[in-house]
Amino acid sequence: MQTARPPHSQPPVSLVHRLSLPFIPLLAFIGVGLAAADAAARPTGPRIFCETYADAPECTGRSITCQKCHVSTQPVAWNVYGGALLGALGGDEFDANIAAALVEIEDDDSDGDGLSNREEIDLGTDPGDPLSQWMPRPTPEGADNPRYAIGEYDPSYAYKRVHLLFCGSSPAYEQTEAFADLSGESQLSEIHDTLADCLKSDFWIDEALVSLAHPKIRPVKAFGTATDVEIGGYRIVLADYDWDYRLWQYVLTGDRDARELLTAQYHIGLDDAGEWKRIDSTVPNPPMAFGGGQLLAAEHRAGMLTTQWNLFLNIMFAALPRVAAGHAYREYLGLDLSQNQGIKPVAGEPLDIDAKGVDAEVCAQCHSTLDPLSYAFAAYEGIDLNNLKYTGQYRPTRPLERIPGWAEAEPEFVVLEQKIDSLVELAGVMAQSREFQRNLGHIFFVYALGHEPLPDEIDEFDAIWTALPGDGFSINRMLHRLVDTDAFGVP
Amino acid sequence: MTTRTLHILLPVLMLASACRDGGTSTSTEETGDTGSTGAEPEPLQRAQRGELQWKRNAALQHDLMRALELPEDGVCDELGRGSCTREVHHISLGGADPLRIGLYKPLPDTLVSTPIVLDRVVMSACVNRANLDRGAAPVVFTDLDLGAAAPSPDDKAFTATVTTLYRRLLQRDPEPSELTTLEALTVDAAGEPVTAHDFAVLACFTVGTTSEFLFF
Repeated sequence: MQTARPPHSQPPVSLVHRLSLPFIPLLAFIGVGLAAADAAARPTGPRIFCETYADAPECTGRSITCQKCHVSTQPVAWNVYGGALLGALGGDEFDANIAAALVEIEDDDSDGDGLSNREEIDLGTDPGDPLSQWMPRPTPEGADNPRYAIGEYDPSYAYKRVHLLFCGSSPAYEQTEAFADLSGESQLSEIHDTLADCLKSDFWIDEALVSLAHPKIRPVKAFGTATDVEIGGYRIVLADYDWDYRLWQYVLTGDRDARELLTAQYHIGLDDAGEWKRIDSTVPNPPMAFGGGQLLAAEHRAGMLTTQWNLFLNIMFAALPRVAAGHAYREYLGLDLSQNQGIKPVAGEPLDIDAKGVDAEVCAQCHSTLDPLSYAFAAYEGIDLNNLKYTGQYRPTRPLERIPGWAEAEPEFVVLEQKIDSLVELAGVMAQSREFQRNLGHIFFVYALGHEPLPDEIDEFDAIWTALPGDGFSINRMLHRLVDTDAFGVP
Repeated sequence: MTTRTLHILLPVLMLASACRDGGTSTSTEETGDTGSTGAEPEPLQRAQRGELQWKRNAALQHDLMRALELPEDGVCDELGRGSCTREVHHISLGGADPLRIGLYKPLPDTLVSTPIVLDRVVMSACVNRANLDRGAAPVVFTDLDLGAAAPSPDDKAFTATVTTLYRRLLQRDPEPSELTTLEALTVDAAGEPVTAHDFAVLACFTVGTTSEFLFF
């Protein structure tokens, strides 16, 4: 879909505009400083923004952040859009009035780039940043290109891309010639047949999918089964990340339900022939190693979140496993709290239950979301040097043992504004969420296209990931939809 | 030239170079010229999206293996230290390295060393193929006597060899203008014929380092 700049909103070229543009940020800061000296960043802002503009790209295919209005949240500072919004708020109570203030400045062009704030919100560019722009793609001009169907879906172009991205190499000359001889409909069928074959290939399963898993699993050779660290005849294997890779590969292939990344209560091992084998029981550690098995009882498992490797690496010695929670939120929901994504503050949080000082203003903005997630991980052990057999185990008494304030505080576990009672429930909520679906779509869209969804690709991107429930959460089916898009096949 | 500039130019160059000979051709097929004499040929349509990806380490290795029928360890080995594409230059070629250096995601853009490494890898693969073809029954350079001088441009062996390379590496036949361009590889700077082996390597390297081969 081509997104054209409305003709009435071409950038104004006037003396006043030229003079005022460089001073807009300064004017905004001065104005804001005078009008609201006690103002602060508001973690509820992104939620209200998305309630007001539910169809905006930031609220569907992307993650809205505080940067929509702020250049900094601590110390608080606004961009020109945020400054204008604060001015429109006029000192009134934030949560009750910010939606009206948003509407009030919709027709303004706060950053002076020629598009109104509302046009930029709809387009997905930043109304507070004059350099955040989208130029519509040019209409094809000139003589017909003999090799590419410029500006329209080109099956030959898509066919080659399918080969390279999912089979790992270009088609041979003979395949290219045979494809060119097919009719239009047959070419489209051939693209999907090729994709189906590629999705069973060693390249896709053992190379491409594995490479996409690295940031989720974060393997460290020295701690895994390939370690060469040895003490007294014991190899210091603390956990085996190969279990994580196999589960990732298994769930994301063969039309399986991708939600099992977070909900699987089984593991994937290898049989004598080297083929995947589903294992529902616990798996003991290998001889002469401290770790490497899967000792966690099935009822406490939550897919990738509770493999021994994930618990070992991301909890380690922490009493309250904030790293594990933040990692799960970032890698499986696409919400990086350190980037102010996915801020969903829980009232009364952070409790600072372990007296780390996270209730300080500078910390509280993120920890009001992070800590209620982290509580759900607290019953899982990372490393206990006094009891190495506890590594990766579920111990309901652990929070009481490790966190003095736990019993008194009786913290509530919350994820995505839903109360839950356990990590297994947390994983279930995550797996059912739009954020999880969108993140899956994002992983594979960026893999196939090499870039974030652009403004004129947002509709196609949204269509892909929102189809996941209807497709049984099959990544294979999502990829079949992806290769049909203009984003994939229009040169 | 910055990476960003490269990203802007390469899609255009690739699509243009796939169809034209640097804008100097007057071929009707290549320019869309309808035959009027003296008129500037109408430029070809250029990519609307222009968001090509570069073949990163795995795809580059696989394509060279497929095109030149080389084994995995026959593409490029860096002085006995390991595979150029997998172990030594994999970062430059857009690969990740989670286990050794904790690089969990490939770098988004090319590095300063990337073009040099690409040259290194393609040259290695081409030399390895030419050496294999000289020492046993040829697989790719079947139309050349690799122990003799390079064929002259009007020799059928010249056209056959270039055509083979285009088909194997670019999945298409060469344009007449491209054949003309590669004629220069049959002689050295002094105009003396080079060996068929050198011609084979240079022709392979030239086609294998085109933006058309390296991007998709």
